[in-house]
Amino acid sequence: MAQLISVKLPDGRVLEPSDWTTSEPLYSTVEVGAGSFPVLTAFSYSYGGTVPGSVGPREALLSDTNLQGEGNRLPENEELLVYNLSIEVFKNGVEGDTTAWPDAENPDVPLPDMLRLQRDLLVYFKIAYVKSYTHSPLSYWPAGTGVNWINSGSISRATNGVSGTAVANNGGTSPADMRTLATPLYVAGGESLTVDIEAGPGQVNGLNLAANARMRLRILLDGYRRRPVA
Amino acid sequence: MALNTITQVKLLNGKVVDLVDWSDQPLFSSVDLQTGFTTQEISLFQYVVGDAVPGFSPNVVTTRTASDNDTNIATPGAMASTEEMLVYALKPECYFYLTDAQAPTGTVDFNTRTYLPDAGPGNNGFPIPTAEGLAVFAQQLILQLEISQKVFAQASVAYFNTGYGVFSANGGSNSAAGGFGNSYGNAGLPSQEAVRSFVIPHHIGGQEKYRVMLINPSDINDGAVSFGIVNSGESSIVLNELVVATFRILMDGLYKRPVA
Repeated sequence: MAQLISVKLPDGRVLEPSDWTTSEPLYSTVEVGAGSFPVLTAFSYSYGGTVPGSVGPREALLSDTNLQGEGNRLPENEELLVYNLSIEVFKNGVEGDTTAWPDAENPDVPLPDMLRLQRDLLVYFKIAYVKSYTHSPLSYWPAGTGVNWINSGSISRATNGVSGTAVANNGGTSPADMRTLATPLYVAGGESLTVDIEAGPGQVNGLNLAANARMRLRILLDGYRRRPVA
Repeated sequence: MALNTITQVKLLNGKVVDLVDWSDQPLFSSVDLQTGFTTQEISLFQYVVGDAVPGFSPNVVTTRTASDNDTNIATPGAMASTEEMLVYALKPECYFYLTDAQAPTGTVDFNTRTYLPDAGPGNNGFPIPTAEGLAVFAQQLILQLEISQKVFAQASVAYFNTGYGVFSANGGSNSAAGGFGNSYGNAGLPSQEAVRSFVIPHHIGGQEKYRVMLINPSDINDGAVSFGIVNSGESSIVLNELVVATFRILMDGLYKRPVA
């Protein structure tokens, strides 16, 4: 219940977060398919832009991003103090090889595919085009959101009732499971910011997806956010 | 257990709130949804006990009359002049039911929702929501808090964990008809440690307007939120059009009660 009045950054600047919020993370989505793909850049587009890696590509909706402006940068009237990267993963579409593992109901992610994503995807958070402030695997950034499963051994619709399946979340479902930075990352209004998703081997090896199926990665920059003034 | 008692809270804009006659309690409001609904904006906290509970469906709807179980607010859409609130968390509860057998076509009557075993196939274990259904909500729905028409919280509905619920073990349950049971889920860990607690609380002053919204902007299934993925009660799992969900969303924090 203690109230935060000011935040002192490592470089000596002091922020007074009046009119800030900690419940409106900035988020952006990219989509990963089977086979090789180039670097996918989240926050490179805003609401109404196109989602990197998507089929089509498709137009970004509010469920994909809440970034305003032209993309690739924070709007001039916002500021961001990032304490967590949180990455949610959803599967849309069917598996490529139906004999490998019982498919999961959309948008749940089958356990082996989640492990493959965690193994092969790297996450780079870049501010002001200067340098990467993070360089770590997907698994380093647990979602801290998601469904707490109780597996009753049920069959799945995705397998036409033939078998059950096992699904996985990107880490735990609780905010306490998120990776919190000891020193937050500050993004000033108008400053460029991107999160690059890159596959170390050039692709996610063994990812079991049909041609038009995708894994949706929604990346949340969580912390203190100064919102646009109405 | 806290040994100290908070007497004042200083807000970020310098305003000091004296917590006289305040209590640590939530305000809540409910909405009924049938699987396949396509409504893009759903507002809660817009009605009081005795009014209709908002209901949304692909079909024509007969709504329920709100009881104390659905809402506890005194004034729709705004704080009463005697009220104030400091919102520290949003907590969406979700419960699954079946409607009557006539529901897929024609009018859907939310008064017929039930989780009794004889209500029809597929509701084994209700009102516990299915894990697959909750995952659909997590991907497609955005939860938003607006105060005086300004957005103060906005993220996926899964970002706001309930923080309580059924803590169950693997039951390996079968339906009454002898087929497989459902896979059950909870919106995050059913523990207070899982609650997304706002470091900076949101203040709603007396007579100030506010609303909590469920937004469905999704491209999935042409915008239809098809969460009714349940066991048929026999040996298959289907998208059952009779499934409805009741969301009861709590604004939790410090609440200045109306003085009698």
